[in-house]
Amino acid sequence: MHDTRVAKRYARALFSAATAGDMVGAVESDLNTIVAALNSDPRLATFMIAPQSSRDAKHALLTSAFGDRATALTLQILRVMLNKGRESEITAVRDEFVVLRREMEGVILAVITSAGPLDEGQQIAIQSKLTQKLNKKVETEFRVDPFLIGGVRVAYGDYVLDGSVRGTLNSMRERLRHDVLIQP
Amino acid sequence: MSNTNQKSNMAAPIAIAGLALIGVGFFIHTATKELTETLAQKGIPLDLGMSVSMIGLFMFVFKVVQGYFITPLGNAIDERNSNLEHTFVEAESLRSEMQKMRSDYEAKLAQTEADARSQIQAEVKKAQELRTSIMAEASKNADSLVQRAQDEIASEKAKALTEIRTHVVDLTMQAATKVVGENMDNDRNRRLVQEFIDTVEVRA
Repeated sequence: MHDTRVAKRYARALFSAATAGDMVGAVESDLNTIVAALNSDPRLATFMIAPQSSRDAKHALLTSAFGDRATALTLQILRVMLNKGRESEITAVRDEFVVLRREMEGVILAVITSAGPLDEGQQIAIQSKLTQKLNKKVETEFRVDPFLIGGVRVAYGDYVLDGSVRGTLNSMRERLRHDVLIQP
Repeated sequence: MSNTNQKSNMAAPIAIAGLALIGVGFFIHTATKELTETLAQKGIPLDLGMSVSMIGLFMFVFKVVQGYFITPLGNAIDERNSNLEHTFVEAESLRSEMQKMRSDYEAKLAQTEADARSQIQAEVKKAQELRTSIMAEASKNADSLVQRAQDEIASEKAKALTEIRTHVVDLTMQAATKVVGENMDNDRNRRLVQEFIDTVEVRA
């Protein structure tokens, strides 16, 4: 159970410190590494979150696993979170940190979903077009969803550009329903 | 009453005068004894003293009888008459009061009857109005029920029709999805993506 307000507070504090130390990129990289490790190893995640695991053991694991790879600032905020029993908020803190960094840099996140994996050329083409049209730096996150059948769907900000077959079929279905509903 | 008092006032002097006449008569009888005997011998039985005494005795006895018998009897008769008059007056008063009460009662009875008639007529009118209102309401409710039933029938019909049409649309779209999915391959997908990249309108 994540507490978004708590995660936002930790993320703001960490982002403020990272900005002051010009370490935003490094800290984000640390957080991504740690979250990836937690996601890839369920035992590690379970150990870190489990309340029966002692705090000292969690500190020892954190130091041994990331002590030589993460910055001191990242380790410090993680230790504070461990002391406060907020280990379950690490992923949420990373997400909020990324949001803050994007806000600061004026970066737009675009989530591109396709029925099958896009090749590199297509990915670059989509990202270039978005960057060109939006006139802002665009970060892309590519996802695969076979449910789309074909085509691609791009979501950024409050907009969704649906070029998928599923989207077209859904649109067709809605139009047909609308047409049959207004028939006498 | 004043007459009776006057009579009472006159009784004592008359009685005293009677007693005096008795004494005077006895004195005259004694003084004229020889004359009386002489007249008796001549065949005239006149005794003036005795006559005067008899008159005095009569006056005295009359007053005594009057004082002890006639006056109380007259008073009793007067009182009786007065009582009777009073009783008659009271009876007359009661009679007139009874007459008045009777008149009042008859007037009240007439008023009550009039009120009752008026109330009955008002209640009858109210009942008729209520009957009319209830009948109108019932008619309105019946019309409303009929209209509602017709609306519900029309609504259910439209709902069923819509469900059928929606179901047909869903079936059509399922079939279309299946056909499109079966005919989708990498080349087509690539073309779709490229077409999207070429034609998409990005809004800031």
